[in-house]
Amino acid sequence: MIKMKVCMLGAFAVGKTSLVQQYVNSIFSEKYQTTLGVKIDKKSVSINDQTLELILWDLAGEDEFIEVRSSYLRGSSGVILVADGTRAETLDIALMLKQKVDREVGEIPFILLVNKADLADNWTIDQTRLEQLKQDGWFIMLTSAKDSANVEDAYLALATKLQQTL
Amino acid sequence: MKTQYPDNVINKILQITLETHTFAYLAIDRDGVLLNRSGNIIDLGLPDWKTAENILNEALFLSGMLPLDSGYEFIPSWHVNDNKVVDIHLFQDNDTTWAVLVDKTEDLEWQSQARQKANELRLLQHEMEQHKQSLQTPKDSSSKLHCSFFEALDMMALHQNKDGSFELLHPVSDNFQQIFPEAFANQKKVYPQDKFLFIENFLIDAQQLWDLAINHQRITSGPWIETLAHGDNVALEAIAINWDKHKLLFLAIQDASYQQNHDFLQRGRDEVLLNNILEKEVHKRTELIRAREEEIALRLVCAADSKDSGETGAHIRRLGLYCELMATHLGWKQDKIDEIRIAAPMHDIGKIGIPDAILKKPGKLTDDEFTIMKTHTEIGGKILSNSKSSLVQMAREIALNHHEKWDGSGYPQGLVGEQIAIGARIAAIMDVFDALIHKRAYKSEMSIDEAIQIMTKGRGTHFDPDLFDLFINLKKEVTEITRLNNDSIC
Repeated sequence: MIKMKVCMLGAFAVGKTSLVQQYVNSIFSEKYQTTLGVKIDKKSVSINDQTLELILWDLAGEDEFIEVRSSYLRGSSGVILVADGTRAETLDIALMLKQKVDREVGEIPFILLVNKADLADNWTIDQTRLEQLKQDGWFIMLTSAKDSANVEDAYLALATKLQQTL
Repeated sequence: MKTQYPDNVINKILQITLETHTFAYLAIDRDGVLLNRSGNIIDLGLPDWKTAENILNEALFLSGMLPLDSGYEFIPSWHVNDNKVVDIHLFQDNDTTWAVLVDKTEDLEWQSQARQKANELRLLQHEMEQHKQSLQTPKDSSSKLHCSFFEALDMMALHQNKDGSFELLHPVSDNFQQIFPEAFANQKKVYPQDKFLFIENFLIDAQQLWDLAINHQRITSGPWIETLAHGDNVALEAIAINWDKHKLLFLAIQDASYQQNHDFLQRGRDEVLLNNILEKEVHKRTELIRAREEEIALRLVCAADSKDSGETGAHIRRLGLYCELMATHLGWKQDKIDEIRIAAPMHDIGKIGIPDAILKKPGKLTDDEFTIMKTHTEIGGKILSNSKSSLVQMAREIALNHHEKWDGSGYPQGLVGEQIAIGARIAAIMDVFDALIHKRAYKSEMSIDEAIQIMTKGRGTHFDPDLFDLFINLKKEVTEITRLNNDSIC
């Protein structure tokens, strides 16, 4: 089985931990619990008769208190950038983290998840920017860790991209 | 077979012995009375015994010896006092016991020094052994102290072997037995890098540190979280240290300090999130108020314009949207963008003060009529004057100045260039454009390209040239606004 390290990156409280927990353990908690440090989970996924083991590094969200350590990104095969649809500024942080990954690891497969799709009424993220990113070749999915919408598909999409690099 | 020495050899040995040692002898009878003595017994530290004196009580080396049944006894290294040591040879000759005392003080000092050195060497070897063991698998008393220390701190200390495995420096504590049972099973060969993926990554940095071999330098991993078999999470941190060329790795359970940092971070982030929610709520309510203001303004403008058969509610709406588009592309702040969208439609509010006979006259106005007509700018300015609201202030500027021209040929004040408020310069362009492309009672509509062609003649004379260029650049968006906003709001 091929093991591939995937880093979950994004601003704080965008739902990185919730996405991992929904994907790996099928659970969701309404209460926001900040992540301090790193939590590593694993999940196997089969694509085209090949099984990949995704080693999911759930990193503490970036903000004025915490910066993602470059050493945590080392050896990553892919990245999941996460933004919160209800907080427009989290897209800027996701873009900044993408640049950091490019600098530290190089260009590796990635996807952008705009999470909290269940709160679409409170959406503030700039759709024009998302469209622009799509035009630039970004793979973007709207997800909800709460009702699990697109969560499985999102990881599968990245795993497919990872498999194509093998 | 005993060696037989010639008499001359024996004599020489005796001579050397006598010359190199201090001697004394005593002859004592069965009762301990001194019969005879020779040599300097005082130099040997003994009392100045006299012949016929019973010395049994003072010569303790004779206690129990008299009479000497065995014929010969040797008492080595007898400590006469703190400074003198003698070897004592006792032998029996008929009724007399002879005691030969040989000074051994110097010999003993030498032996003592040699023994001291030997002991020191042994102690040193022992300490080195202990130190070595403490770095390996300490089981002595000081190591027990280390064990308690590490256990109290919920730490695990490991020493990296040459083959990349690690060796535990103390027994595994109860907490680590749950977290890292493999270490409990085999303390000599432990592989934390296989157990913890996080450590596998951290060891790359640790190895670089160890290779640098700068004594006492260390790095920390930052916290990471492990989930135990029963589902509880535990936070850990790794520390790599160079210690006298030993590659040491400490794994520490983060309890109170981690929880404190976590709680601090949680509080800070909760506060930021709450502020975000409150800001959004304030923004939402402000938007509602702004929308209400806008609607009231537009309806009032509609009421005023109802006198003017040439203007429509749709025109008013479009003018606001055109101006909003221009302001957005000029990089204005959102509140100012919102203001011009609401203020621009009020540009002709002064027409409320123009007599219907002039305002609704189907034909061309006379010079006098036109002079009256031009006063709608000042009337509008007056209606909107003396307001503290920045929105109404902008509306006044636009109402008063939207017929001013870039070259100073406009009215009412004949302002030139940037003397004219920017809101009025924008509204001037968009007002003319929308009027040209829409049908009025007194004229037919033009195509957008025809309108732009005509207006281009006014670039730099009638219109601000830079704003006019921006308008041309936004032709696509302007056209879209025109297409989507033909319904009257009034």
